Amino acid sequence: MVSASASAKFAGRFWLPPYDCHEYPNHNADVRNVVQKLALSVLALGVAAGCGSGHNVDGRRPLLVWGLANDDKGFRALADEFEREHLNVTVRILNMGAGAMNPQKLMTSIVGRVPPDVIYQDRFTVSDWASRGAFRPLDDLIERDRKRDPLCPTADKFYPAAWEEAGFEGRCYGIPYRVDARALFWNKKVFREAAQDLIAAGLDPSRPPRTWTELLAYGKALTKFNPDGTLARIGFAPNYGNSWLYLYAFMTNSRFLANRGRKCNLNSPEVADALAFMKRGYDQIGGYESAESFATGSLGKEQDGFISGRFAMKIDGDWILNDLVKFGNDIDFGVAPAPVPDDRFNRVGAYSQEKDRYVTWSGGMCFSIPTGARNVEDGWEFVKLATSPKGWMIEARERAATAKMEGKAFISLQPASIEASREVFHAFPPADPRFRNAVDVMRGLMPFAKMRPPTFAGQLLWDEQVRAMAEACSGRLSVSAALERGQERVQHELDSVFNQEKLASIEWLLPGLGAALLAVLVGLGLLWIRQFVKLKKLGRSEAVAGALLISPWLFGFLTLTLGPLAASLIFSLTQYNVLSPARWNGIANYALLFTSDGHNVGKAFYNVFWLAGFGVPLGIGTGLGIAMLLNLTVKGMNAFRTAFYLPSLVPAVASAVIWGWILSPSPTSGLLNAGWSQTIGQWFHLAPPGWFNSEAWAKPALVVMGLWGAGSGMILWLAGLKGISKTLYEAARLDGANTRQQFWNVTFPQLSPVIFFNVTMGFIGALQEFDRPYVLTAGGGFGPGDSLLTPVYYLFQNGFGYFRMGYASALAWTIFAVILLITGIQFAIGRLWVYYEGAL
Amino acid sequence: MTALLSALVAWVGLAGFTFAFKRAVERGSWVAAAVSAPFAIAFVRCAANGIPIVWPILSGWGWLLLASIVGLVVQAVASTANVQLRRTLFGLVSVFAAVPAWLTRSEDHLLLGTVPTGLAGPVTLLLFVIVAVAVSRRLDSSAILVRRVKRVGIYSFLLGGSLIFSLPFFWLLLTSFKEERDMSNANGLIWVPRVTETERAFDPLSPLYQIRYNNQTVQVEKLGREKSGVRVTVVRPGSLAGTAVVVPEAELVEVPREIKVVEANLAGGKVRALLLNEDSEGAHLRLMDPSSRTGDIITVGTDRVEPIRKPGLLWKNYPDALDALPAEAEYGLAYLRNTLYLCLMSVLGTLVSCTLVAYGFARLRFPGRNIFFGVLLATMMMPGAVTMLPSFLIFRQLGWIDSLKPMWVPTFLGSAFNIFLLRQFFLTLPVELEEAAKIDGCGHLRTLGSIMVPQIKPALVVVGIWTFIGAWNNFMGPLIYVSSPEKMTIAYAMQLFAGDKSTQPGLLMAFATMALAPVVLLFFLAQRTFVEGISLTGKTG
Repeated sequence: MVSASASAKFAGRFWLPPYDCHEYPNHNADVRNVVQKLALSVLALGVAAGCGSGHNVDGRRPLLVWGLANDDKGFRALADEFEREHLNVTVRILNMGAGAMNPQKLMTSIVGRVPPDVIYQDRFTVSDWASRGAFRPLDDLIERDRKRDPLCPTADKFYPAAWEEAGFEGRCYGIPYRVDARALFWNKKVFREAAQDLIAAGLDPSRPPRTWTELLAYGKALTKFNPDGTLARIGFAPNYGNSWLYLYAFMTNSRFLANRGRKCNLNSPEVADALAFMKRGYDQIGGYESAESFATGSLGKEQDGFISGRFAMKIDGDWILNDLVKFGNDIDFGVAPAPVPDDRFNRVGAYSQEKDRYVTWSGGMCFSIPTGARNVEDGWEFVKLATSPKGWMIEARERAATAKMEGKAFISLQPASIEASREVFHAFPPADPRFRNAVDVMRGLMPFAKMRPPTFAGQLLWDEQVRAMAEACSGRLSVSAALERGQERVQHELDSVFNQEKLASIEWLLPGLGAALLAVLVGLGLLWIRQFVKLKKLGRSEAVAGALLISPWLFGFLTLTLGPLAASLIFSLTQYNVLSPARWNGIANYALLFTSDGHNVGKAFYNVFWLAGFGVPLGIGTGLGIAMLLNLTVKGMNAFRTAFYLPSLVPAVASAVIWGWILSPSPTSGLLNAGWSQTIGQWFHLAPPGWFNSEAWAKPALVVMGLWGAGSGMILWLAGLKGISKTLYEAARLDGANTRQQFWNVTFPQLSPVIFFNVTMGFIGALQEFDRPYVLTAGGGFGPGDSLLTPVYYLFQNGFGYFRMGYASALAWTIFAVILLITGIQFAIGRLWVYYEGAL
Repeated sequence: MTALLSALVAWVGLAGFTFAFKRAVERGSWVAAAVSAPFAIAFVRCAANGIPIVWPILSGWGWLLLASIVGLVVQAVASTANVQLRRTLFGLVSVFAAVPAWLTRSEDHLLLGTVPTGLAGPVTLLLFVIVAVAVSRRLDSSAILVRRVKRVGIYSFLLGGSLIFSLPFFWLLLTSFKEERDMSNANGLIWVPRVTETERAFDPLSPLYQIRYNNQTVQVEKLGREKSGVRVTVVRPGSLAGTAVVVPEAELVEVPREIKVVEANLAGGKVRALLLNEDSEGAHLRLMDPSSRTGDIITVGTDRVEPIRKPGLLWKNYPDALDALPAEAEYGLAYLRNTLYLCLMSVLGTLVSCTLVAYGFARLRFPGRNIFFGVLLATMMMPGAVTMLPSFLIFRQLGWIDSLKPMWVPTFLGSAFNIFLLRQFFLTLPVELEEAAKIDGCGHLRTLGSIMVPQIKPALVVVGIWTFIGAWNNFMGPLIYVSSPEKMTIAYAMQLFAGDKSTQPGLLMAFATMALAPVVLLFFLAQRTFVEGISLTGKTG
């Protein structure tokens, strides 16, 4: 379906023998003319290439900052202040496409040598970047300015854990900007309303739970079901809000990494305890999936589940206080430390020596400077200002003014700088006692904050804990199996990096490839000349002209197809992250495909086979049906053709945007689900599907989307239908065949080459599905339960997200092999049912 | 009574099933078999659950049952040969023809089962039967009618299908004209967008000013006073929003702002007023009537204020969407420019290179031609994923990252699909003209330019349009290679916009509409070519 447009133009001739050669006339070669024209076109190419970039008109040095929300007035004020102090610099804040959450873009720009000057980045990923040499160490700048600049950030000015998190192997790669803390939010109003239930369960409705047992008991008592068994209110869902597996695992004193980051402990008993607790939490409210779809049923901050009372409690970070203030007095809530394991609370058993009763998990952001940044000095000045108490006060003033203008209270985020924290909360204390209490709890938790371990596999560890959580809580895997699987992948990554020193590096890889390519070129040239000299004079001039005419393609083939093909084959046998030389790795990448990464790769191929298996036949059925309708001669056919055809011209991105909205799971805003709940929902009492928000429906949703574009093959179908001789139908009618028999005995066999072509191309297209899943998941994650994970998307993520060029190349070749295999099988089966005229 | 009905329904269900199934067995007709299934289901449901399917409040099963009964009676009546009866029934049809229209005129939907009680129910049922019988009898007797009915069927399929296929476009447009509060509605979707009435007026509480900033006129609001002047913050354009500037008081020029008109429920009745702002004290209003109090500023509780909304289109989403883009995008113009540049260069590159190469393959003899052509065909099967990573490294070496060159420069080196297609076209052309040209002393390129190209013009146009659309839709290329907003293309910008504004469907859909408009326009302009494309490919099929 993806390549359907391309297929249409190609297919018109597909079933023609490709070599129906004509008699060749002799020509007088006009080689000079050819050369001239070619030179001209190359010149035009160069001129066109020349125009393009060129900004910064007013002569000021641009300072490119990525990752900040450009509508955040605080950052804007900070940039203004910076420009006031540095008159020859203009700050360009950019978050579109360069957000901290889009590592692929950042990595591409660093590798492509066009990085931003400053990047605002989630702190836990810093070591990931640093380990690959993507960030510039800041120690030299800190040392230089330590004495002479009071704004200079030094370790003693920040919360130690935050400072540590932004470092890697003893060097500093980022200056912490803010910290956060997570705590339990409980809706007092709901607690009051459900007081009877709570008392009946032996619980005190006037205080929040403090231990895991209490938390589950409160959660159970507060969960309400509708008469039809669907959820009406959830007391507590372990991962609603922001806790993930990390917070619970920190409570059980889990260490995710040991042995100086060389050993992954994701499968340790402590983590398993935490995950088992989460699973219990979900099991008692009817399972993970129903809780998730209940949570996504409320969209947007306006309909936040906690604010609307659909969730009685949640564990979330302090940043949501800024959303809560908007609702003023409409919400009565309390904030308390997140409940901990009973033994920890009572300091018995494994926790008898434990000092800290409560713990929180703290993350946060920092500013870093990428390797190869063009404007390091200004960037460093900006970082110093942004992380200093001075910068924080500028931002806080601006944000407070904005909040006032919007008629709401201002609650500052927590600065990572200790002094800034003191100053900001001294200058802007929350007036409302509920929020003052909340801020006090959050700030009070900071000394007991735990951070994610600094490791180059931080992102992978994160992804794997999310995956393990979903797999275990939904019951697809047991707790230990889910953790084991994640453990294996992370450990593999750790091992491969720690062992990479042992692998032989191949510095000569790129020059070697170039040389090989050149050798091929010379060899081909020699071969060609050998043939050439055998020709007669006239034939020679024609041969030269011909060779020149096809030379653009030949050049493109050698440089952009054959060369890359060979390169990717060699890459697939190496470890290569572009920033450092490739290292010989043998077949380890291919082995990984089938071992610890086999699950993901298998899932990716399962998904595309699912899409192809359902999408291609449905698409072909719809397309053929439409074409048969459009093949009739009735008035206004052009208008109908347009209506059916136009959707196939819509870009995949736009299509994903439109359908993402139409298939919104909420029946109050999604077109399809509104229709569903009015008809099928009422008649048969079936809840509308969650489409892209649910694992089971995400792929059917893609198929529905694909059907909309089924008109793309129309040209081809119509061509095929028009090509069927009328006499065949007449003969069939004379023999007494009815419409159905005519279709199966005339139309279908006559169309079978077109159908075959569409099936083949449809499969090839579906196996390479990328655009739509990427847009629908906004480039983050692979959809619920990896339901939108496709091989090319996975390849893209590995190649451009992590720059694991070697592994990505192995994936690419696997995809290639699968496509060849499938196409081969189809040709074999096609022989049984495709009817070629003239063949017996 | 309900129990009786339930029993009746169950009985009819059983009888219907038996009858229809018998027919199915007799005639071997799958239609009859299909008809029998709902009977069985209705029977099972009624008998097992004891749920009375009480008219007029029908469930989905009830409707299935109803339809089956109608079908059954039609079958039974149609097979009687009594002409008199048929005539009578047909007469009745005309009498009651208006009844369904009358029935559905109520707001509730007929299909949902809330048809008025009383006589209406049985009457509708009867009507269904009569219409169906009449149609079915006439079908038997008149060949012209059969054709007409078929035609109606075809049209309804075509129309229905067109409607379904156009619905997403319609929904896209409709959403782009909706206000935020209409995006989601618990009482059914909003099909007629409404806009809140506004009036341009000076706002005494938080006045809006205009100043010159960075050589453009911007609208600002006061933040506070400073030594050197007044501290203001930019509200418009969106790309500068939040920028704080200090300007001398004299430079501020007050301008009217768009203020919402609301209806306030006061002690003395409802009055119209301008809603100046809302805060914790309540809504601050400036009264518009009655005349005695016009201009008064009062504060009332927010619950007593209701905006005045009229059906209309909210065009504001379009400028707002452009306004929300980063400054470098120049209100989206940069995106459009980049996209057009990319498209045009791609079309140029593809046409020039593919024509040359295709001609070379089609008409010139040189060593290795067949081998090269075989290789070219083979490359068509290769997934782009395999060369994606090394290509990136090549373009990186050339310093082309963060530019559009990696996407269009390769088009000057030809593409296998198009070369293949054009070569096939060249092969269909007669060689006589060329030979004549050769005899006249034309070189290969002259022959190609003046003899061959005019003949394959339709094919070139098709290739050009496909390339244009392909370049317009190219997403992965910019995703990999471009990161600066001033170099982005529309497709990529749309993805980013979608991520950024996912909570504001109005803006998002406005942006999508603007992004789609050029392609749709191109289609309508080149519609004939597209259709010609059909006949072109058809000729050889």
